[in-house]
Amino acid sequence: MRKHSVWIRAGVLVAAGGLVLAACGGGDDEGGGTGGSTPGAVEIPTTTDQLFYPSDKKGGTLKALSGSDCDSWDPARTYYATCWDQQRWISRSLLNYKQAPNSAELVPDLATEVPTSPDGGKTWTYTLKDGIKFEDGSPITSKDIKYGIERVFATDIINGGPTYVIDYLQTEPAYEGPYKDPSPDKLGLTSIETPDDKTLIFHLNKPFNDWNFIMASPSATPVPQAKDTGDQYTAHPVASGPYKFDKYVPNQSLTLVRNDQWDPATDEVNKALPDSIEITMGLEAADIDNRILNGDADIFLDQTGVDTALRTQLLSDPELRKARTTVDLSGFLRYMSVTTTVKPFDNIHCRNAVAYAVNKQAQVLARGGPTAGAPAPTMLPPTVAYYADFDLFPTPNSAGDIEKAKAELEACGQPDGFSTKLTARGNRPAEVAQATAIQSDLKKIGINVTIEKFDSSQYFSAVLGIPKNMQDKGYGLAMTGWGADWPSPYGFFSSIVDGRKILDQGNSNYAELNDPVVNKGIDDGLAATEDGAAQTAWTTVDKGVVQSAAYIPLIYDKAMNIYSDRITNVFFTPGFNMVNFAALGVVR
Amino acid sequence: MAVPVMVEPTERPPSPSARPVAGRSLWRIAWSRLRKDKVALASGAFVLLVVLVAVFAPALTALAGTTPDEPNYDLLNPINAMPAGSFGGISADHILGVEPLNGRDVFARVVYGARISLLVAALATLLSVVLGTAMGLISGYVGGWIGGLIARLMDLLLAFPLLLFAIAIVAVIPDSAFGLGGNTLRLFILVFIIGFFSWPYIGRIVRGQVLSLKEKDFVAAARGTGAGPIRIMVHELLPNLVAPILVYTTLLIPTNILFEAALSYLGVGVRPPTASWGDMLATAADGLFRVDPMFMIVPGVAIFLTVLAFNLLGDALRDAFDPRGGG
Repeated sequence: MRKHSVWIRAGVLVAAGGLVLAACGGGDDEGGGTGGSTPGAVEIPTTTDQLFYPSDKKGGTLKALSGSDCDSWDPARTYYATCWDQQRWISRSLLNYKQAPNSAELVPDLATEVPTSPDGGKTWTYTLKDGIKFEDGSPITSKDIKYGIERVFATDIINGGPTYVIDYLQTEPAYEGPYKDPSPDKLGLTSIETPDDKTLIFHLNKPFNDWNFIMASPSATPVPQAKDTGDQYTAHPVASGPYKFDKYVPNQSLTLVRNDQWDPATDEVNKALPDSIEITMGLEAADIDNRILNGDADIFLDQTGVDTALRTQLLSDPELRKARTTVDLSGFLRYMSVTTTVKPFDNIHCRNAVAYAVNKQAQVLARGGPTAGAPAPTMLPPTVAYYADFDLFPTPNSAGDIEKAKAELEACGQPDGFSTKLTARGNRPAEVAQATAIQSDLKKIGINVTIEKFDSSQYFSAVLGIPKNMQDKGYGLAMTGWGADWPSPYGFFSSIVDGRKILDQGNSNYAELNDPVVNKGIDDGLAATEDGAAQTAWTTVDKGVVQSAAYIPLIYDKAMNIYSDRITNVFFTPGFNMVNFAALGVVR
Repeated sequence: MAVPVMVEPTERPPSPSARPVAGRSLWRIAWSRLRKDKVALASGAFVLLVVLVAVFAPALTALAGTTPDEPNYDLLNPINAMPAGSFGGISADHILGVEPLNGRDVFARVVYGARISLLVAALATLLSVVLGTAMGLISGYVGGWIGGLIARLMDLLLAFPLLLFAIAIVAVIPDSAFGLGGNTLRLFILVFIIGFFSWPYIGRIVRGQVLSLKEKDFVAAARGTGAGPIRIMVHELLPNLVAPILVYTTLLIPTNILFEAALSYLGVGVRPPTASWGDMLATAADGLFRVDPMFMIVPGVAIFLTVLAFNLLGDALRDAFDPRGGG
């Protein structure tokens, strides 16, 4: 599938980041009061390309904490990466991510093999394994998977999750889900054939080479029609994976116990080491950090990292962080959108001026230093396939170049600068710190920035997502971030830079970039059947976007996480952009 | 409650005493008492100092060679973005250290923050004093249903969940309104909200005073000479209210400083990078204070000392004008 070299490159980048860290540590005694700060003193393990605490020992209870309950435990309705990751405990999909550090390679799960399409991405055929069963002992058939996918089409009842299966499987006339299905067996979606209980044939309405990634998401989870409770399914999704619901109190706790109908012989993905899993929900960040430090819990499922204070404490206290702290690239890019329809940013030179003026090292510091992120010259983070390293706006030490920025301002016809507005989420202190840093960067070249703060709950829907609002209010700059739904460049780019996907509402192409080179690159990348062509296409897209300066990549986000001192098999999975929960154990 | 009645010296019968005693106004009496009160003098001096610091903020920071908004990334520990050096990065150039994450000079920000805090508090207090005095006078002197209505309005406003209202209104404020934009609009709104909701404190005091004053002979005399209600309120009653108004003004200012800090803390104050004490506290309280306590101590102490000084001064003024009351 994916080129392995991509991942090696990602590993090199992360390792280089570590070196920078160590070098900084050597030059500064203020490591944080430990006295003898040596260059090696701030080495933090990065899980991104390593496996920590390998163990095959079974038993024990994995105690997990989360800030809030999952958006839904219904596999068709959840859209949070952490919940997709947790779904793997209870549900299996046709495919899954390989259980190896930083591997985006897909492996068969319920299916016997990862298929290739015989006709350039329109037809996909999967064969199911023998011996796969639901928690009630009934066999999992191709019809259960088809039914599970059909549920996604019932958007009036089953909503909130990704809708890619609708995009690619919708038929004429439109299928409206099993609840409105006139056919007696409720399996009326003609684009999925189930000639027998073991075979699924998908007929896509347009070619899509990333289809296997969709079949590795919870959208491709079997749901037994007899047990489908519609919008109540979240209360007890029927397990196909190694664990099943035992006791669930929404927004408080969930206990998972072993599913005795799950046959390990059919599953090379899930290790299922703990005997049970206890999830405690709705906790405050500081409480979560304390519980894990005290050994009362093993992992923070949100994987958003420790807060600034604990980060600094961990950085200055080797004993505290020993063997239980990791820093991962989160697969998340923090970037700034430069609205191309707001003057003077309709002129590329004015956008270039901003791109040159921004001090990306200051952005890293605003988020808490090198363990919080690394300066990003590209849009694609190194955890996504076909990542290529380049820098189209090189500045000394990524700290901005005032001279070049001023030259671009001159070329834009605004040598004395101008005034513009920058939007940010006011309840995200780190984002406000980033915005403030940009404000002072741009002041140096005469661009006066007013920071407009908004609440995060309405930021994308009511502010950035409405192009007319951006134009009317003159929001020339916007702080934002993005992580892909699956670790392919199409999953990353399709909704944020494709000029043909600019919407009046719910827009994600905030800068309203409509560049024919970028648009064509997305089509080429999607149609590419071999790695070379795909690499060329996606690098063209990435370079096209960065060159346009409509989007200015700022930081590859990192998360510094802590674990209990008994946890085992900690490694990073690009599929969820976090540690793979299904592999975790608690007996060393 | 004791009612300070200012009696014009000229109204007094000539002193029977052999040595003529110079008439001493309430102001002179109060001043002579204040002069002996060391705490009052110290608080007054501190208040004056803070005002001077706010007024001369640009000169002070220029003297210190710093600016409030300029980041100093080289002063941060590159590993964790905290100030390099001990006690929040205190050095000869940055006498109160620098902020984490961006290295802005804390001294310059506290000095400039004093401007916002004092400006908002002073203007809001002015608004509430003007409103409160006018409403209290009308309510107390005119009485009847108008007086009753105003009195109930004051009760209503005092019972209003002000903080929640302030958060809600500031959250829905557009970029520009009433011909104002940006920070000017924010300041205007802060002043309006704080001032508008605190006038009943003054209003009730004034109303109470007026209710008792209007029964006095000098008011009846004025009425007898044919003075209209406005003339009586402005020329007869108001001069007798100056002392309590001054006292409660001094006590309202620190309340408003804290209020501005609270609003900034809740994220509805001025916009970045403009410094305000509340905003500095809020940033520090996000967890950074555990690593860099100085970041929270500096604005915290600034608020604490200023509020304390205003309160002590207010108490001293009250005692000076009315040694019988309070206690």
